[in-house]
Amino acid sequence: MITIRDVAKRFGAQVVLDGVDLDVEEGETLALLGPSGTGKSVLLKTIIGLIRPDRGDIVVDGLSVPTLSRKALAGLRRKIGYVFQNGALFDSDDVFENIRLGLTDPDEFGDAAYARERAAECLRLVNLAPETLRKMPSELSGGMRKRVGIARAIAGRPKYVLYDEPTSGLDPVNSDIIDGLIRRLNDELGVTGIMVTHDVRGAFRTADRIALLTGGKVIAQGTPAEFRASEDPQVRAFLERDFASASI
Amino acid sequence: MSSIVQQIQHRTGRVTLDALAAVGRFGGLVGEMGRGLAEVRIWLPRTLDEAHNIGVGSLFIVLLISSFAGGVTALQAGYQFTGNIPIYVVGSLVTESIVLELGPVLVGLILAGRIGARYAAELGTMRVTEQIDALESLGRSPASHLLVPRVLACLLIIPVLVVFADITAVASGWLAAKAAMPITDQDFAYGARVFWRPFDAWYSLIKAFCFAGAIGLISCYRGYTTQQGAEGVGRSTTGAVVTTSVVILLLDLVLAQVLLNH
Repeated sequence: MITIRDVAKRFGAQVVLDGVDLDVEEGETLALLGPSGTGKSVLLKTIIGLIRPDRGDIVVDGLSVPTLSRKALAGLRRKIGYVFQNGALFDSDDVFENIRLGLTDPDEFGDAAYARERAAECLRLVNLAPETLRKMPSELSGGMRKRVGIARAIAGRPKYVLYDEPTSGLDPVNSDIIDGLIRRLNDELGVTGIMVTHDVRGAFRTADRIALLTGGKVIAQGTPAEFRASEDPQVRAFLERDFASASI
Repeated sequence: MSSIVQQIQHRTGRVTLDALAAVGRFGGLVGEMGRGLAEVRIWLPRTLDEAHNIGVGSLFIVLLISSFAGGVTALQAGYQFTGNIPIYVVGSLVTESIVLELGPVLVGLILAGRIGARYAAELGTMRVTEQIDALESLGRSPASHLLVPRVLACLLIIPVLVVFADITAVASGWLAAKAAMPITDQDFAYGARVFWRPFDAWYSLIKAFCFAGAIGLISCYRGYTTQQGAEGVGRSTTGAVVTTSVVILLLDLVLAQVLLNH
């Protein structure tokens, strides 16, 4: 379980997070919606300890992330897969080496035959052919890079996966593939997920619960049905902007 | 008047704090690399790859520049030492000036540009495209994966390149001297030996090793701490080359004072 309490973060004079409270239950997928620049990605990075909050606490599996030692944090990160917005694939390594780096168990990482088998298996999970293993990141399309990023994030069988804008910049077909994949990981592997997104339609299709982050705070959260029925003017304003172009 | 004084005090304080923060970050990064050394299985193969890349990639330019430097030194020595000074002094001057100064410093400055810029740009790009964050998110140490291999590759290969540069420059100086002035092989070899001390070779290697450390550490630090996108990568890259070049010249002065004039 992930518990976020009163988390605040500012960069210079700009307040990005201003007392965020949020709970993510085991086995659920939470979609974190919000306008650009409201700190959704910053919140995701505080969960994995890439950014230290100025105030507040983030507890993952009973461990307070901001107070963890370097070694303990590395150990916790092995339980968490992180899918970066642009894939963040290592340019100088091929797809196989990229996915292999996701194998957090040293024995699995050291066993080249197992690593190749596992990498191919992860590629199959994201609907990519095993031949992709030999390709360099520069040879992949945007959608393929994102899917390889997901394959790398799940290679070590993490308990949690954090998705940073997994469908941004993708065409509807690729967006649907990724949404379906996130749902499948949740249903078949029981992965707990937090998905930062602007894509309201995708959030409704994929998430068990939705939270809206605005002005540095979570102003609303609930199931997709509760969210859709919300009378909160900020929720309505955010949803209607998107619903105008897509029927849910 | 007092507001000008206050402004000066304010700026001095800010520059001092920024400098101290940079020293702290640099120290932290070196400490991180020290911890990263424990992961031999990670850094060893990457170090060998890096060493091969920078060694093979830099060899041609190092040999080219050192051969020109040796030739020009011999020709200038011949121009200055005409008349009453024995001709074999050209051999002494070429050998000593190349091994003690020109070989390590020229190679250091060339590689500050070639390797330093490359490392700062690579790491800076990895930082702004979140590749370094991705490595950390996988519970892996950027120090053992990215920094230790680059610094060790510099420490391993740059002294070797300096040895090649010294040999090439002395050889080209020898040939240039023979072509431009009435000096025999025996004269040149006698001149090269007469003021030669074995410590001269060690001094050249010690300098090369110190310059290699400066190139590796400064370029990795500048690249690793890159901020603000493509502009930041450009700033880190030029900053790495300029800072490393200045540090190489300072080290040159300090090492000459410490090792030759004690």
